[in-house]
Amino acid sequence: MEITDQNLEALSTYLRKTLSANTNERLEAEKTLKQIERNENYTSLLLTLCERSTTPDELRRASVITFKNFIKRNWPSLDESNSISIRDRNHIKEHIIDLMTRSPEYIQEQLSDAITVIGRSDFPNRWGTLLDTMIKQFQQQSSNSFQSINGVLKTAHSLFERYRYEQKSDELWLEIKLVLEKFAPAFTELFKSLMAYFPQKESDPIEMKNIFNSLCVIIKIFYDLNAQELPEHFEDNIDIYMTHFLTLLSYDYPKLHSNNNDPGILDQVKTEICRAAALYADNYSDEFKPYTQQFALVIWSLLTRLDLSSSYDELIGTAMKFLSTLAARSHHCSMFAGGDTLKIVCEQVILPNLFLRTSDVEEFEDNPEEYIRKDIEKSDSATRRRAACDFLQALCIFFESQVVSICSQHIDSMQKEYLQNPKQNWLKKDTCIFLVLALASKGETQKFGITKTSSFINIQAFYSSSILPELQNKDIDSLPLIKADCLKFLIDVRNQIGRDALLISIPECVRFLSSNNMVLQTYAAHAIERLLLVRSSADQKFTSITKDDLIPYAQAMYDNFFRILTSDKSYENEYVMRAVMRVSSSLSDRVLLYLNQLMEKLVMILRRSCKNPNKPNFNHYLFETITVLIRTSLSKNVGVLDQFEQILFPVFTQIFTDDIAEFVPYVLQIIGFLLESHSSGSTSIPIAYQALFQSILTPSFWDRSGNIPALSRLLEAYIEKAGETIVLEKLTTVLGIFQRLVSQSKIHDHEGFAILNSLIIHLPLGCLNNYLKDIFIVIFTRLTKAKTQKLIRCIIVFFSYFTIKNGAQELIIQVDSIQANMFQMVVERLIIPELSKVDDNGKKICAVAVTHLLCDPEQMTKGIYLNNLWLALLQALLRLFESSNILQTMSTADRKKQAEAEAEEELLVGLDDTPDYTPVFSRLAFAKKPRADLLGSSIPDARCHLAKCLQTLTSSHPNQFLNIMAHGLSREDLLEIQKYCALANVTLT
Amino acid sequence: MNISLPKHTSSHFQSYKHHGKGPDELRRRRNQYNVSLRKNKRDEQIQFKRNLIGNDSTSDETDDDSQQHQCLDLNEIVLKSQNSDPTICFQGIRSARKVLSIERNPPIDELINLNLLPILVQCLSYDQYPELQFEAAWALTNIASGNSQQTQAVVNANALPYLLRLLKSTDSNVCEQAVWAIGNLIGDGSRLRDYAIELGVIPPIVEFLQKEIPITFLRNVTWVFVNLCRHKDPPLSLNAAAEILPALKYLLVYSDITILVDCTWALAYLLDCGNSMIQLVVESGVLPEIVQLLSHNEIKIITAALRAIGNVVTGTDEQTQYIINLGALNFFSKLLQHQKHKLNKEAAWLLSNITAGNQQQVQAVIDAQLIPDVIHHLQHGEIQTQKEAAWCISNLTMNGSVQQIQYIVNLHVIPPLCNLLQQQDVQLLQVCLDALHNILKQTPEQNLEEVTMKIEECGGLDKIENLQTFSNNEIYQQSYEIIEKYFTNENDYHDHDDDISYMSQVPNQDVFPFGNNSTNQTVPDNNFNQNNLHFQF
Repeated sequence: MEITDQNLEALSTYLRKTLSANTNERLEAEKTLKQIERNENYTSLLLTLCERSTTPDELRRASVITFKNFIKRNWPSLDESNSISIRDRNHIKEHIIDLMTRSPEYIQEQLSDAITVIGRSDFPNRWGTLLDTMIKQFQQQSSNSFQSINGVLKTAHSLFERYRYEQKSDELWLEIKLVLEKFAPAFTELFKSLMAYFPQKESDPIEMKNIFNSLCVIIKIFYDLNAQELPEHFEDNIDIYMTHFLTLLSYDYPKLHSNNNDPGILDQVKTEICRAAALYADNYSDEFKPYTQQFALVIWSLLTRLDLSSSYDELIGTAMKFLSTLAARSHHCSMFAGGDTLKIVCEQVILPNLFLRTSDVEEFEDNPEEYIRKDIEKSDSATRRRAACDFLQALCIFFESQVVSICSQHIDSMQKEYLQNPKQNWLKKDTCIFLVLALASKGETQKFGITKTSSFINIQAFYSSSILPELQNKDIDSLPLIKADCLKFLIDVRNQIGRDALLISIPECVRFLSSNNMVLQTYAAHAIERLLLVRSSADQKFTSITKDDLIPYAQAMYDNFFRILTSDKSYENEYVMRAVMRVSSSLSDRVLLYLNQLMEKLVMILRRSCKNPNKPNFNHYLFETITVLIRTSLSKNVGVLDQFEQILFPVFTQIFTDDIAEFVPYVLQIIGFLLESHSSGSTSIPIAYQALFQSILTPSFWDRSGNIPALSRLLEAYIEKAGETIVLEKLTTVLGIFQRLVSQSKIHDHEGFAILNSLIIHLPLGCLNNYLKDIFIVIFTRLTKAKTQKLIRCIIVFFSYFTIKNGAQELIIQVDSIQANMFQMVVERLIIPELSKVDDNGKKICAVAVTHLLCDPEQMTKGIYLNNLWLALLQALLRLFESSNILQTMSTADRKKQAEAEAEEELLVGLDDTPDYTPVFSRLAFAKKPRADLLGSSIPDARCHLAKCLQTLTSSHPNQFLNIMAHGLSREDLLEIQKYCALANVTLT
Repeated sequence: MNISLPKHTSSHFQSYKHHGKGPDELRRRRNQYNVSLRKNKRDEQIQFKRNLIGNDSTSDETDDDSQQHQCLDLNEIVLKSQNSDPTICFQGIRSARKVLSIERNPPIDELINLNLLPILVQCLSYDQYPELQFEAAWALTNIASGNSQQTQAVVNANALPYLLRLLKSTDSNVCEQAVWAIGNLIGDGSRLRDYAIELGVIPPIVEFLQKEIPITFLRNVTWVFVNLCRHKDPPLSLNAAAEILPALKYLLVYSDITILVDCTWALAYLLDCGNSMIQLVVESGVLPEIVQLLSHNEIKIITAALRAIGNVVTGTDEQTQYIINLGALNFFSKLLQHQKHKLNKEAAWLLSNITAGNQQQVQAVIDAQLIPDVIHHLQHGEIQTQKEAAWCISNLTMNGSVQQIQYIVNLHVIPPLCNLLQQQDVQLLQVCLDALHNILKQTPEQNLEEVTMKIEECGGLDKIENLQTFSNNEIYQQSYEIIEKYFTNENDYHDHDDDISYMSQVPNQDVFPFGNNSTNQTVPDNNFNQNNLHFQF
């Protein structure tokens, strides 16, 4: 395409159509442009259009945007035949900088973006002239407007910014070196001339703004070029830069201030200087040393001058970060040591920034959810308060006792002022509470709150003297923000104040539940929930607050919780729902007193949530609560099962019918849990389950990955409870599910195996005979195509169940009938390397199965398998015993102890922090499945079992196996076997 | 300068994925990168080239006078120097030497252009006039002390063979001046060094050690050794090094500070030339002396000795072990507590290369009670020292045993590591994240919660979370991985990339088919083998 008026006209027409309101016309034009974009000169045409001042503005804009997008899509492509021609590329690189500097700002921005894209791929090697072109612009400064310089600076910054975060490499440093050689001298000259220029322009606010815009980018570039290392050029000119930086930090020009909430340009310049100064102070401290003191003084005096306008927030944050850097470094911190410095810094810099602002107070009232998020979920990283608090803590590294004593005086006096006139001075109380927490906390986790405290602060005393009285205030609605602070304080220090203090606080929390303020309600519920998890200092196994402590308040708590959960405002408050769950769990069997009212309300809420399930955490705790109630009830009386079924099944059916995807995995877990709780006797399972069975076999159900864990658990429950009836009828479908999970998923394959194992264990012998060949083929096919360690362990466990059910000989026959001698591969490549790594749950079954593989089948006790495998397999078995404590501690007394421990553990389910909702699959903690030991009674100790089986084997083959062991096993292994024999009271002969 | 390194070859990033990476790859040379942005700080303290300022040159004239005078007279000086009358020639050469001996901008190029060099070289051969030889050698010394072209000009005038000849002169002043001139030529770089070696410079230089020469002369000789060893591109040949090493070993018995410093730097340079050179130095038996120098009072000597020993432990495990066996670690407690930051930094760097070794070597560092000091620097040191301390810890976590890692965790290594996560330096972030990640990986299940809690308690978790927004992709990924693996409640189930895609997907059906050929019945009698099914896993 030549650059002719005709072509330009045609291009304008298409571009104009891309702005059309008519969708078809627009799409058509976009398509046409795409078709012609491969033509030579396409980009030149676009640039010509946007360059011509006769082109209408909207077309200039359209052409430059089209140009930028085209560059973004096509420039980085290495396949040059398929993208922009070399000629066009060179043409663009030759002219674009110049064009950018001559263009109005809205075009400049787009071109600058395009230059950045080009620079990323071509600079420096394929765009040698770029730096020279840029520098020329600086040097022609007098003839140029600031706007063009600004464009160049911004482009340079976008190219150099990556020096801040890229990993050091020779290639990168070579590029930086080039930039330093060519660009830096002109850059420094430009900076100097701007610094000399602006004092002359103070009468011209517009020009001043332009100059400071440029200065701001200059300081960003300064940072870019200094980020990796202190370059020689900047070290040589350090005095120029630092002196000017200090000048700028102290400079004021009211017209450059912001008139809204965004930072003004002068403040942005100062922010960038603070950032650069922190970089120097931290990384180039020797060179920066002569300036440290000056910077510190200028910056903290700057801090004392700034008011509470949020336009200063970023500057204040960065300035305090600089000071924190100095405070935290042993070679800088001494500047805070002398005279009144610490006192001045604490009083004039830190304290004022700890105060809440009107906007925060408004947020408390108008946007409680956001307030909670910032306050309790600690999303306050960008606030002044956080910055001041970080600075305070940095000062405490070297000056803790002094800082605490300075702050204590203020805390005392602010407390007094508050008490004299609470209505007027309550913000001071808020600051006190925040300050005490900031000074006291030396370590904090979500699970425990504050875990380590400063030795200079007595938390317990502060709690009883300054927090508890507020909580005990009769008027729950006065000064709600202070009450919220106090509740938050309680939550944070819950592990520091002891059982008695906790007990006194509980009723106060209950009172605040009835407040109408949403933050207070939430914090009260959250406090109750967290307090109930605090462990007893006497015995970490138990909670500090017992169910008996709780009972007096239980009804009031529930009443308040459900009042909130049925209110208009915060009916889906996840903190409250979690508190319901926690109280129900902590009450243990006492919760049954409230069972009926609770179930009624929970089902009502569940029905309501079905309409709009948009609060995942809330829903999660709702289902956890229901599960807690089922679990607790069943532990007392299995007979209530059908009552739960009657209440829940109608809602559950509705959830299936409406296909509420968020809820299905929960419902499946609960049904599974219920079904597992039915007795395994001869009575057939209730009709409702039978009806459901058909639908859980539907493939579409299994298509959702999030359903699969719950579905397979439920299916296993069916196999256990109704194996011989309804499952047997649908056996091929169930096996089909197994096949799909194992052959198609690396993530869910273990669930397929769980189903298969369940079939092996619970179906009568022989039911699977017709399918065995296919089952083995499915497994070996998957193994051949996609072997993973997890798969191997699953296979080992399955083979073990198979062996125990059908005998070792049968396993070998099956495997070898599929492919000759494959069993050898199974032992060598699967069992031997991975046996000791199977999950603890599977270890015992594997140990017993391998024992039988060694001792029973003829194929193993003679011929090639004996020669090739026997000894290695025995060694692998010994490693398995070594790997597991469970297998080692199975004397009768031990087992009894373990059973007791497990029962205790059972009681403690959910005592730990309950996991939140997670997007993929949320397991209900309270629906946890108990561990089962299939061989619990028949084979108490797998080691004795091995000894006994070996004895049978050796006595029927005199000398043969004893010889093999004596020659092949290490001394340690032989001693182990002797130990097992002693345990089993047998001798090998 | 080798600039064609593919991206990231030398970056540490890749190593965290390959846990089994050997110590050789973890060990870092002092100057791992070839490009430098920093000002050259001359921290080595030994100059490449030195000119000799004559203190008699301007003694009888004022500065202004002399300069004017000299400028005008350069032509005349050269003319005089060519004079066949030895006395006039001597005057000319002496004047030339004098103008070359002024401190600022001696007229080197001017005199080269006036073709003074062949005249000077010529004068070197006048054995009957040792004073003339001395003046000419001095003039050449100062010309050779200039830039590379100026040095090259001296070589081009064929001065070197003549200077070598002078090493045998009976006049000690002439000898010394020739040594000095030769030192400047060699100091220019590998090429001139190798040329001088080819001409046989080493044996006569070494022979001076057997003669009775004044200590100042001996210092000059030692300085020539430094220049012989200094350049790396390419390094000194192993043969030449073998010739020099006995001399260096001999020089180490002196107590003269200058000689000790230079001699140790010469060894440090040699030791920076790869494992074969290290081996050669090890076998020369010189290192026990160097290790002892670590406790010297003079900071310059400790600095050089640290660098030398530090370079040895960038070598193989065996070479590192050799240093450990010499008891070097016993000196480090003092070095790490030394008030000079620079010594702390170098010491930490050195230890980082030992903790990059095998577990026995890690244990040696632990047994020497050095880890508490390293952790102290990790917390409170100057930033460069913090970086080296971080490497030291990170390398330890890479190769250390579970017990060794537990040991540093018990010494509270986690808070300072986490504290550094607020830095901007990518490499430092990487090193600290590696260390934390390794600690987590190596912590047994039952202690894991304790470690994750420590990380959360000191604010480390927040910092790692912040790094997930960091612009550098590797940093982002590793912090993401750590959070995912150790700080998320449920860690299974990730939907992406879960299909064994080359397996045929079962088409959507109303029921699950089972079996090989999708019938709902059992598979017809076995003819799999005929179907070419073969299992291999």
